[in-house]
Amino acid sequence: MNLPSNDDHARDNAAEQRTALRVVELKKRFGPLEVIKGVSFTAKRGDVISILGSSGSGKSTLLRCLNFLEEPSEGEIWVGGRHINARSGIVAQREINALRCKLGMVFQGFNLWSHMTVLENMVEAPIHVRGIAKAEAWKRAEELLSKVGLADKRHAYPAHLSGGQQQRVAIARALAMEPEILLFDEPTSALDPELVGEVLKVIRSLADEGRTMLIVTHELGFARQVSNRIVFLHQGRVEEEGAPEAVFRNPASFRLKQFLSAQATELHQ
Amino acid sequence: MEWHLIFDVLPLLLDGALLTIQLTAASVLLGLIIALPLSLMRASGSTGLSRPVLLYTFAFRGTPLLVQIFLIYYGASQIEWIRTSFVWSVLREPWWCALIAFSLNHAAYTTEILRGGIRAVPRGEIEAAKALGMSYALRTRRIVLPVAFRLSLPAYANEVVLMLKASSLASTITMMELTGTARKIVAQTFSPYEVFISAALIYLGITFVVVHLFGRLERGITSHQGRARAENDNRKNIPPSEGYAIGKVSR
Amino acid sequence: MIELQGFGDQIAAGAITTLRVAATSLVLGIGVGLCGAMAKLSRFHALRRLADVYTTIIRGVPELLIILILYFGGTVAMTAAFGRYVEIDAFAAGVFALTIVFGAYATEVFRAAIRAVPAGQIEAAHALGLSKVHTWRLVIFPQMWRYALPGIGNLWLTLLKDTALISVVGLEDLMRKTGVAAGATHDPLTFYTVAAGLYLFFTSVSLAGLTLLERRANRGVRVAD
Repeated sequence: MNLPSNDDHARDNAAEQRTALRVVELKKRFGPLEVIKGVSFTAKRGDVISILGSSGSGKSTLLRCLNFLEEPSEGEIWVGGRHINARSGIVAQREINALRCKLGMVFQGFNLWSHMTVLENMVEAPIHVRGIAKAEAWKRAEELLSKVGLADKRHAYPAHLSGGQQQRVAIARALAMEPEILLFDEPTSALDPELVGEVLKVIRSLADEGRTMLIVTHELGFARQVSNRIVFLHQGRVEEEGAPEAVFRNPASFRLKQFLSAQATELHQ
Repeated sequence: MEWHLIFDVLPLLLDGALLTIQLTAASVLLGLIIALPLSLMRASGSTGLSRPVLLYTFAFRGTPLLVQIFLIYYGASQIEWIRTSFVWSVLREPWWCALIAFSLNHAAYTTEILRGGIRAVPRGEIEAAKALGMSYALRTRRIVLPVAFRLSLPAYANEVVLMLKASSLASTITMMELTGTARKIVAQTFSPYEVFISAALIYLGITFVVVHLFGRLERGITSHQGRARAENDNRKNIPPSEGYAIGKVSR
Repeated sequence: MIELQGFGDQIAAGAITTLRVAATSLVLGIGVGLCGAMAKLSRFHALRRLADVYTTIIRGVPELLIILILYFGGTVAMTAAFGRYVEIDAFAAGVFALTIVFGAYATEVFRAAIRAVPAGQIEAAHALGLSKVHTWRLVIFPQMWRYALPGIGNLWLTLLKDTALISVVGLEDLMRKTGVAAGATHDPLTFYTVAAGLYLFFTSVSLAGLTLLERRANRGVRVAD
C-alpha cells in the first residue's frame, strides 16, 4: 500500500502555498442569459494571466465576479486562504469586503474619486479600510506615486490629469492596499493611443516584480510579451489556455484561430 | 409717499427680518438633517425603502405649504392626546408649528434633490470604492454623499432661497417675522407702498447675500472640477446660467 | 364618507375658484414669460436690462408679499384715483400677482428653451430664405415647447399651490372656504385634510397630464438627449 510519504505532503503543501487564486466552476447568469458557463482555472503566485476573447465572451464579467462586483450565480473561489462558495446563496458582506482587500482592481475608466486629490485618493482605503495610521499611509502613497512616475502630481485633482496619468494613479491606488492579486479590466481600452504605452510600462514593471496579475485586454502584442499564460474565453467558457507562444503560434481551437486572424495586424507589431 | 416713514419703521422691519433669518436657518438645518437618511432610502434600490419616502415627499410637495402650516397649527389643538400632554406646550406656539411645517416641507424637497444628486454620482467611482473593500457605510460617507452634495448644490441653493421666501407664510399664524411686521405696520399707518416695498427690498438684500454665499461655496467646492463640470440630473431644474439657479420647484 | 357637515358645496365652489385663478394666471403668465424671454434675447441693451431687473426682483421677493403689495397698494391707488374708497377685487389682485410671479420664472424657462433649439435649424431656415418672423413661427416656436415643457409644467404645479396664498387677502378660494368651514365646525383637521387631498388631486392629475404632453412633444425624438 502506498501511504502518502512526508515528501508527498511537503510537495502538496508547497503547491498549495504557491497557489494564489483558484476558481472552480464559476457561473454567472443575468436572468435567463448565462454569460459565464462554468469557468475553472488556477493562478500560481507570480503568474501573469492575460484573459482574451471577443466582446460578449464574458471576460470582463469573469473578472468582476472574482471581487463580487457581479455576484456569481455558482462557483467557488479560493484566495489567500479564504474560501468563498457562491453556491450557498447570499455571501456575507464582511466576507466580500475581506476578499476585496486581497484583490486589487484597475478599471477601464480609471474611476478615481473626482472630489479628492491624487494623494487623498490613494490613502483613503488604507486608512479607513485597513486602519493604517495616517502618516504611514501618506508615506507609502508617496512611494507608490514615485514608482509610477507621478510624484509631482500628488496634490492634483483627477480632472487635471491625462487619461494615462489617471490610470497610473489608479494602479498606484490599487497597490496601496497591498493586494495579493491585481485584476486589470481592459486598462488601456479607454486611452488615446499615445498614452497607452506609459500604462503598459507600469504593468510590465509590476509583472517583473513577480506580482500575480490577471489582465483582461485587447492588446495582444502586450499580452504575448508580459504574460506567462493566456486564457481564451468564448461565449462564457474557457476555449483554450496555455503559454503565450504556444497559443499564439499554434492555436488549437478554431475559434481562437478566427479571433487571432481578425486581430492579425496587432500580432505583427 | 411719505419717505420719512421708512426710517421710522426700519428698525421694526429689521427686527422682523432677524426672525425671518432665524426661522429660515433653523428650518433649513432641521430639514437637511431629516432629508439625509431619507434621501439614502429614496435612492436605494429597494422599493420597500423608497416607496414610503416617496409618499411623504409626494404629499408635502403636492400640497401648499399654507395648508401644511394650518394643519399643524390649528389641527394640533384638536387632537385630544396632544392637548393633554407635554407636547402641547410646544405645539401651541406658532414658532414651533412654523418650524415643524417648514422643516418637513424643506426636507421633502431636499430629499428629492439629494436623491437626484446621489443617483448622479458616477457609477465607476462607487465601484472603485467597493473594489477597495469599503463597506456601504464607509463609501456612502466618504464618496457618495460628498459627491452627491456637490452635484446637488445649485438645486439646493435654489431651494434655500425658496425657503427664505416661504418663511413669509409664518405671518399667517401670527408670527412677527418680516412680512408679519410689515402687515401690522401697514394696518396702523395705511401706507402699504412704503412699508411693503421696504420689506421687499430687505428680502432682496437677504436673498442676494444667500445667493452670494452659495456661489462662493460652489466655487470653492467645485474647484477640483477643472474641465469636467458637474451637472445636476434633477430634471425639473434647468442648470444654472448666469446669476442664481432658475428652476422654481413647487412649494 | 367624510362628514363635511354641509360645507361640501362651499368647498367645491372654492376649488373651482382656485382652478379659475390658476388657469387665468397660467395663460397670462405664459404671455408675460414669452415677452420677457424675447426681451432678454433682444438686441437692445435697455430691454435686456429691464427684463433682468424684473426677474431678479420677483425671484427675490416672497409671493405673499407681492400679493399684499398689489392688493393693498392697489386699493390705495384706486381710492386715490376715484376719490372714494374703492377696494380692489381679490381675484384681480391675485391673478395679477401670480401672473407677474409666473412670468418672471417663465421668462427664464422660455429663454433657455429658445436657446436650446439647435442653431443649425435656424441657419437652415435662413438659408432657405425664411424671414425672421417666419423662422420664429415655423421653426423656433413649435420646437421650443419641447424644451420648455418640463419647466413650465413645474411652474404650473407651483402656481396651483400658490393660489392658496390669495386666501390671505380674502379670495373665496378653496383655502378660504376650508378655513371658514374649519372655524365654524371647530374641526380643522378634517377640513384641512380634505383641502390637502383636493390640492393633491389637482397636482396628480396635472402631473399625469404633463407626462402625456411631454411624451407627445417628444415623439420622433431619439432618446440620447
